[in-house]
Amino acid sequence: MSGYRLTSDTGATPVSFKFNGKTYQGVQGDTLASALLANGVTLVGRSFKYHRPRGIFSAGSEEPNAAVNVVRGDELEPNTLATTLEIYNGLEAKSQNCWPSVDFDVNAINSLLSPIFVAGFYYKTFMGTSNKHWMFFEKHIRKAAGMGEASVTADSSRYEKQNVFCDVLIVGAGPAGISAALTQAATGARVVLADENAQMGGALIGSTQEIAGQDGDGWVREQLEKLKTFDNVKLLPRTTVYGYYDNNTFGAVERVSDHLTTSEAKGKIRQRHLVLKSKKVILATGALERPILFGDNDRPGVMLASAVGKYVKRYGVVPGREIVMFTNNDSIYQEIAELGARNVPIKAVVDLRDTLSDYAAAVKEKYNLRIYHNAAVVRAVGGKALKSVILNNGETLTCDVLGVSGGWTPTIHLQSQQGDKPVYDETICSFLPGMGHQDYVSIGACKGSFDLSACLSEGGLAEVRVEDEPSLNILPVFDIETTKGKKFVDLQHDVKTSDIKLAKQEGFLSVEHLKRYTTLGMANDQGKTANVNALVVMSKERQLPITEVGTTRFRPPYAPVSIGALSGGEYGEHFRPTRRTPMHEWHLDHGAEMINAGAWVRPRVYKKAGETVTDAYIREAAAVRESVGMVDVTSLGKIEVIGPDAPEFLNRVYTNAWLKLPVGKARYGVMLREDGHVFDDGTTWRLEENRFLMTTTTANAANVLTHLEFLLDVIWPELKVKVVSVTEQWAGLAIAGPNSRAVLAKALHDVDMSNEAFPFMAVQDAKLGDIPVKVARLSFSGELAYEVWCPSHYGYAMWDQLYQAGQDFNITPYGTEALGTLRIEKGHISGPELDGRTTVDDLDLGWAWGKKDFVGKPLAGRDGMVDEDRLKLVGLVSKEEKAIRPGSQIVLSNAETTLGVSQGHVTSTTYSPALGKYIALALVKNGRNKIGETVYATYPLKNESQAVEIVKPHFFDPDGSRMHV
Amino acid sequence: MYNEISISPLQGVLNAGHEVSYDAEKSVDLKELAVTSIVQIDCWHGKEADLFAVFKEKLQIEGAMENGSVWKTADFFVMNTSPGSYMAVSYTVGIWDYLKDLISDDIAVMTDLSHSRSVLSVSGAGVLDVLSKGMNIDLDETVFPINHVKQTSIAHMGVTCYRADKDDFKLFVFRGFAQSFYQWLTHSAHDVGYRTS
Repeated sequence: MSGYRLTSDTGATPVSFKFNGKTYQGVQGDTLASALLANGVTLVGRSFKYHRPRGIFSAGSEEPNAAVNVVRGDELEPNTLATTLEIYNGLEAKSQNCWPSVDFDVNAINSLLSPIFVAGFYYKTFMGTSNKHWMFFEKHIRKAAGMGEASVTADSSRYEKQNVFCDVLIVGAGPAGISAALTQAATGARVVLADENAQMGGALIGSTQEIAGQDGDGWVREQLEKLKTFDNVKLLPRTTVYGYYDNNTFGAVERVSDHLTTSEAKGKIRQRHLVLKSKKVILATGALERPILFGDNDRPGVMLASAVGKYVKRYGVVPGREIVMFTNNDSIYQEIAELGARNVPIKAVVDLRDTLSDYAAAVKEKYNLRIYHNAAVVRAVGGKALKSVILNNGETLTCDVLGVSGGWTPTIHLQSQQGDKPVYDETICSFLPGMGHQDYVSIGACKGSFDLSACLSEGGLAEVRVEDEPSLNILPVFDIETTKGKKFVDLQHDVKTSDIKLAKQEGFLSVEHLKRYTTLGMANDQGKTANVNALVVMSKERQLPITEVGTTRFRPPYAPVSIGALSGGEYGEHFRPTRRTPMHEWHLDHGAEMINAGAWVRPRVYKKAGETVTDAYIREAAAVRESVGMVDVTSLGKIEVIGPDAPEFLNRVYTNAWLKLPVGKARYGVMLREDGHVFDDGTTWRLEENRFLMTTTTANAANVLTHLEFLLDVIWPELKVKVVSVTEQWAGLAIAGPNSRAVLAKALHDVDMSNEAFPFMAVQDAKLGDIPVKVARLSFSGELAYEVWCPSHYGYAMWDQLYQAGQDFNITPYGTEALGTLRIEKGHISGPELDGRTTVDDLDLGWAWGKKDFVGKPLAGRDGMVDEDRLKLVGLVSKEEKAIRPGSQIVLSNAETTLGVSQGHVTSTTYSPALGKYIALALVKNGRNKIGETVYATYPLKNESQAVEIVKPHFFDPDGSRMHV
Repeated sequence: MYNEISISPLQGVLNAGHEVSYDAEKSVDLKELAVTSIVQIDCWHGKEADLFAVFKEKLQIEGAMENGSVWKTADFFVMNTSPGSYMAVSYTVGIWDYLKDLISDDIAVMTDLSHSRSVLSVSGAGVLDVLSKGMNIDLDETVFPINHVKQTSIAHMGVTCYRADKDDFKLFVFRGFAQSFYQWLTHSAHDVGYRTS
């Protein structure tokens, strides 16, 4: 093949690009495919399985062959279609699926072995009798097959998402879509017109067909200019609508800067993922030409006839010097007429039909065509380029391009995605959209209206006059009987007609089975040019009409979507939002190593020079026991429970009693789910007669609020109670240790901090300088401790002022690690124990079990919930002075460390500076009756095991004397 | 109001006078609004008309009571954020005591949320473009009129969005998310350009 650019188009802006290391010149507006064709490049890639030479087959997103790797610095973008990739100065692309080069590919030997590489070859040959066989071969098979090379460096491009709402969404900006857009725009509706191509206009781009007294190209440009004058119309070129979802919602990708040079694109969004929502939808997605099957129909130079026409019309590029056309319908004569109008010669037309329509006859006469009637191409001859074709009469025609038209397949992917069952239409030999399930209409070629006048009319421009247009006049011949050469149905996955026959022989009759057995219609082209022909072959094999063979449904995406586009902007620092407490900057300024706790970011430890995390938390926990420490507890969930029925509501929500809690006091509470398992725990403070402040665990804040709202809205709507999240209103810290009272007494005013005036579980208002605070005498650490809360904007100042006040007592800020250490030493439960599977008794909280009714009580009494053998909370002490790994399984003897039956698991672990031992909390089967026993904490994944003694979970100060001083 | 001890979550992050590719024809203006008072008012079921009557009489509020309405007084505005739930906001004065006197416990209960939200003003020619990158809400004026409020989420963060004018939105987000939200906002405004004040 030796393509060339028409001299009339040489005035365009030149563009320099590289392909397989060689520099070429194209012009602005070219795709990589058109530019390569203009440069006479025939060979673009190698096929998936047999590594056969492949060229350019189409001129759009249906391309099965010409997928390339685009190189951007260290980044690679595989499977980019040369037929849609717009060139720019500096573009670098290379062939994929070949080694060492596309010209000499070692794996081309596969083609010689093709008799054994039939459908199902890998499964039959490499599965073996166990997974090990497949796992051994899989990596080699994958390496050999490949579909491009993925980048190993992070994608540096910018992506984003956008929501687009409109009254009418029109997908496809060909003549039907543009007509519809003009019609809808005139009504004042908000119209979005999206098209996957850089240029809107579809088949009319570059067309000389006469419309309303001017050529098609001029007419469509004029209509697009009209559309741009409407404020209510949004045009989205380079936008592929890839998915149709419920409620007229569509996914689309706008290629914003893929066509720009590196410097032009710098800082710009690369691709934008659009979510389109429309009241009405008009699908004008057109149709794709399909090939006719014959021997060696994959040779570079065999192309769709419409692609030949597009390269000439749109890009001024003629794909070859000697062009033969092969058809079973009249549409090819329109392309021939377009070529003829530009003086591009056609060597011959091979027509499967006996006679010509008036339109075809006129074209024949005008361009003096040599037509072979009732003839077929049986084989293409060539290697890396087409040399000739052999006809069924034995004649050989030399040529470098064969344009093939086997008819047109309406593009009904979107209709099919939302549930329409395609319906086969014998007049066009293809499938049409079935009954619609959503509010949309199909117009134009995608509903089988191939006439231009019909497209315009269905779009609402019935008055526009169209001259000289052919009808389809298709002869239903899809597959030419041949004796030589491979007949490829699916070019991208190297699926041959013989593979379909084999699938049928082996019992894979359903089209769904056929697809999966042969991989037909898979990969990034999704069989756009293959599916109908495959069904024809199968129907012939099964001797059934196509309507009875059935068809597969399409799933999103219509065309490949990059992972970057799907992520939108959600990567890096935008991967997920984080919640910072008001004291965040203070923590960072004082050496805190932070850790995520859900969305919150909390200090884990405050490292001093040379300290490890372990060193730091041991120091911090010890400081609390010895003097005083402070920890940020802002992330605790906080919910105001307000209203005259609030006490009754709490009484029903918590397991323990709440009716008599006085104002100014707090109480610990446990709440269950309806199924009787422990849901959450925390303290709730009675601030006023009818106003309570409930705290929840950090992790369950939102879940508890939802639970409470559900109870009030659905179960007890008669209760006069409101619940409001105030988590963000309050900043909080806990100050703990023997000197905590002294620090607060020094810093606070308007409050008496004495034990008598401020007893355990009391809640009082106070002032810290000008900052109003609430102080509650609570202890999670087991020490004399208080929580101090203030309105959030004061949080930093509150923390800093208390820190300064504590300097005389060597106050130590501590993080979540030390917080965990202190509560584990006390046997207090937290997230790891509140795992949704534990009961009140499992966690040794039976003292909180009230006699009154409460949520979860009925189901908490089920047999399985009160079984003695349930996992019970216990403490563990390492007998080997080693850290106990969280998640370790408990087994009874050392011999069982890898295969034993688990008796439970370790939930929380720490080194206890107070005890000088490694300790843990665990849930152990019937654990409370095993106190004093030695068991083994085993962690098979690390091949670790150690002896531990089961003890009561209250390791430190079990009578609580330290917090009641 | 922010001062030496009352500190904005965006202190040191949103710095006034910063510009990125600003073009008045297509960019946005970003500004943090210091709020003096936010009070959530939750109306008891069946008392909605009573509450509105109080608003109408005492605050001389005009306009119909409809979901998502925003009523303005000289010192504050009231947003109907969801059925029976309102958020009163003042940039200048404390309104808790005033509202407490106005609204009896028989009609509604109130919660002080003055420190719970960070409020950002996003305005300018590019505002719809920027917000549509995060909000799954139709921003057309016929759907989202001026002086209305909608609850939504942007980049997984809950947002109360008040449309003060055609191209002027006030966005209320949880204080803890303020920095993440501001990062999202500047990222999304990057290609249209923005400036801060």
